[in-house]
Amino acid sequence: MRKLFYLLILCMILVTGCAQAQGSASSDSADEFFAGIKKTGGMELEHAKEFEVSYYGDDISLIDINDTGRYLLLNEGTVVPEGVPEDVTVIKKPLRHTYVAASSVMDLYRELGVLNNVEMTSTKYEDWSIEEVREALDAEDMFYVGKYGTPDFEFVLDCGCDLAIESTMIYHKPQTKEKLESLGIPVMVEHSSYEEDPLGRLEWIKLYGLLNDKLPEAEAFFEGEEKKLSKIRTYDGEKKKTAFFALTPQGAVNVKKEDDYVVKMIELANGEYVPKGDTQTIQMESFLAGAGDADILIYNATIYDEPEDLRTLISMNAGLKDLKAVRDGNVWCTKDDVFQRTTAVCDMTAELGEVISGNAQDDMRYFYRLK
Amino acid sequence: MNRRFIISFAGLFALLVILALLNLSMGSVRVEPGTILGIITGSEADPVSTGIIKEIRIPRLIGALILGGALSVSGFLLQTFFHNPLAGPFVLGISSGAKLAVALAMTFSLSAGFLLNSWVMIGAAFLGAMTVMLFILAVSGVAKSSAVLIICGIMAGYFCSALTELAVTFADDQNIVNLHSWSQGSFSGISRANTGVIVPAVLICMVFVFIISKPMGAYQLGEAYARSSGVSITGLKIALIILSGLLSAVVAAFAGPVSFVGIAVPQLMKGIFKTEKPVFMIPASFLGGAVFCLFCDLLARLVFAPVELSISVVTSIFGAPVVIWVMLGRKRAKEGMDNGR
Amino acid sequence: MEDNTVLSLDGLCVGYGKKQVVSDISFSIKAGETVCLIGPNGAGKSTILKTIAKMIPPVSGKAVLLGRDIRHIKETELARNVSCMFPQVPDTLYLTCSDIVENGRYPYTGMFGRLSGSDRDKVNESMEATGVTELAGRYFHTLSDGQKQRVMFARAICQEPKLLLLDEPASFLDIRYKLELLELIRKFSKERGTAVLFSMHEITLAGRTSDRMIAIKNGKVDSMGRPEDMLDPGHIEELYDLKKGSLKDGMLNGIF
Repeated sequence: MRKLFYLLILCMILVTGCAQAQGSASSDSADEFFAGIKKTGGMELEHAKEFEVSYYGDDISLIDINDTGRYLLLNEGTVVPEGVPEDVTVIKKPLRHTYVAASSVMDLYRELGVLNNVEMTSTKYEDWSIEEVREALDAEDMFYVGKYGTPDFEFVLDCGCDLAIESTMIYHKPQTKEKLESLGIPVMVEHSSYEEDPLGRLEWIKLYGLLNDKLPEAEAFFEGEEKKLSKIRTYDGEKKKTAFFALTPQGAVNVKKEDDYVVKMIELANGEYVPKGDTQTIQMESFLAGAGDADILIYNATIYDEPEDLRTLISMNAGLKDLKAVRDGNVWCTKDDVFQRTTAVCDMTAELGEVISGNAQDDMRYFYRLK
Repeated sequence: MNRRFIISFAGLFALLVILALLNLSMGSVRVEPGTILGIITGSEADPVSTGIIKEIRIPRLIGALILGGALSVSGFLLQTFFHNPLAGPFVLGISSGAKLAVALAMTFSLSAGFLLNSWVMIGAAFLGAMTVMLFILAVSGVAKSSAVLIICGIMAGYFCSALTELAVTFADDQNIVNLHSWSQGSFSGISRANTGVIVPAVLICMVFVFIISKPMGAYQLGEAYARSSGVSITGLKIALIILSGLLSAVVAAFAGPVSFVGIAVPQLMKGIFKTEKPVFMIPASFLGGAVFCLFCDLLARLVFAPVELSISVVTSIFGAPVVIWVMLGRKRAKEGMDNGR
Repeated sequence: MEDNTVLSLDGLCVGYGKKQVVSDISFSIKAGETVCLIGPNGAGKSTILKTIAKMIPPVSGKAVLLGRDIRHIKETELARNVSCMFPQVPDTLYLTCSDIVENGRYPYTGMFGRLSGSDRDKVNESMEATGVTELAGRYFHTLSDGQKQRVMFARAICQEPKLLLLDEPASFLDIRYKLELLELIRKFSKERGTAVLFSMHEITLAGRTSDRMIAIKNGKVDSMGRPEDMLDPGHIEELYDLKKGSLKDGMLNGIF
């Protein structure tokens, strides 16, 4: 009897083990495939490091996103070439029914004027601060389909979804990604949040331009935005120590890790980010130690708790009143959910530049002074 | 008694068929019954409705049915083992073990460099559950009484939860959200490929469960009497723990922890069938669990569409009152029985 | 060895692990004989019965059942020859009396415990013999203690044992049921030729039922003999450490 049971357990383990062995195909075959086709060019990228695009003639592009995979983009009517390797996802234009689950991408679509190509989102109406998205949801041109981890698959399939754009969070729900793929929906996992350079993050608009036949517009937009930072580049004053933080309900402090793009924004704007470190949540004492002598303090408010004035902020956590920036009156606060406004990164950096150089007005588009 | 059994069984089976059909035909997208029939017979060509039925609704339905049955039987096995109506598959910390393994996989997958596909998560959950089960097995060899064993199981659960919290501190916010939603359980991610593993795994276990149904019946008279009938008590105990553990590990692996099914359904079935004999209770529990989960999953899917409720929320809402009602009913029934029958 | 010896113990030492509780036990029981173990609480009567039933391994020595060393008899086969009764009754909710009695056929039925026609006949016979036929459909836990033990006895006999081991079977019963049960035991033993070994602390009642009594004290067999001899007041006073002369004449003829 006992032996039978050990055998049973062994069988179960083997079954799950074998199932795991369904790994992805090796990419050796990939090089063969692409050796046969001639590469005719590539997308010019100045700041973005997390993706690359290679062109193979006018109708075929290969998008390579760091760590998440490769995507073969085909123009309308183009026949799928033979021998596409297993690890390459095929995406066919035109893309009229996109499911954008990565909320930061939505703003780029808005900027390109192709929100009408987006039909599904995983962020609720109340959580959107972008007006055009709210209007689309109201007009039922766009629908909320549930959270990215548990979307309404039936609805998504019924919409005729031709592309799902997910953030890397989908990797913790592999079942969802696999289910979408089993329904014939290509899933592209975007990696823009891993860009260290804020301009790199913005440059992803070129990728979405390519997907939606708006590449020239994307490139023009990007060039224009870059120019906004010229003032910052010519600044020759001293770097000011700047802290960027949020408060947790437990009284601890959320700060940014060294490789975070907000930190890069601050450094671009001639600030020196404090406190240094690579933990996200720290105790108030550590924050006071690291940011005690910061010249400028920026509080990252959520939609629900934008403080009116300095006193309100200090009432959230009394430890704040000992900070130099508080005594000097250099405390600022973010407006809206700045992370949804991906296209505004240059405007935001420019405003940060003003804050740091001391030329800022008290109430700007993305930041306001707490008095 | 036999007649009661046949009628109840038939009734339950009919309920199963009805719920299965409901689950098949209801969803956020309307699919005509004629189309469904066409898809099943292979004559329908529309890719969208075929996808909806074959890739979404049927796997999910099979998942809820089979895993619900597995959970319920797992609960029955433990309740017999412990002579305790409140024993459930996840009381012994098995789901905590699964959760810990999933947490580790989620937190360290990217940094350790392995891609987290769904089979890895399933394997992790399964291994985590089985590890705790093996621990329980080891303790059961040494523990003097069942009470000690339950306490060890509960402590193992707490221990795993504590380690999970520790692992989670190294995670970023997104992982925590995912872990929380995983631990509430869901049948939504079950794919056709998944059912290919779930169905044979559970059915194999059920074969073994039937094999031990006879010694289980003897065990209900108490360990001493079971021994004197010739039952190998250690063998039976090992079998009960392993089978119960395997069944609940499969559920935890593919759907996450689903609460209350294991505790509530066997009790409900005893009340309906008015017998405790394992040879009847095993199929009854399986059927009852399947019906219960199909019902709860239907609600979880549709009540707040497109938002999906976690299955544990629904099973708890229905399961907890059932347990209370059955417990009170037991007391009343016991008194009622005492007063003459 | 005589033909109708059912159980034969030879230098048997019983205990738990290395700890010996009773040592050097040697006696035998014939078919149809009723033997009672008496002695102070904790003397080891239960331990002896459990060891013969193979629930505890013997420390040393031999126990031979129907000519075979019980060490070499598998539990499943042993169950066809030996059945037991314990002082505690099972705690069930939805099992009926016939469910319980049917359990006695466990060593004889197939994989799922289905009863054949002859199995069912034996169950009915046992229930009739113990007078519990009308209780068949009732839930076990609704019965009185006396009725419950009668059902457990029905179960024990439908197991068709050659040897019946009873561990304080009447402990928790009222006097009426004590007597009833003992009557059943005696009747059964005589009619079917079953050997019975039981322990009891109601010694005078036991004396009426048994052919022989064996006293266990201080870790060994203290004395053995016919009830009339064993129940001598002086002897009992010694066995149970009572004050000399406290058992007046005739007291042991009473019922207590």
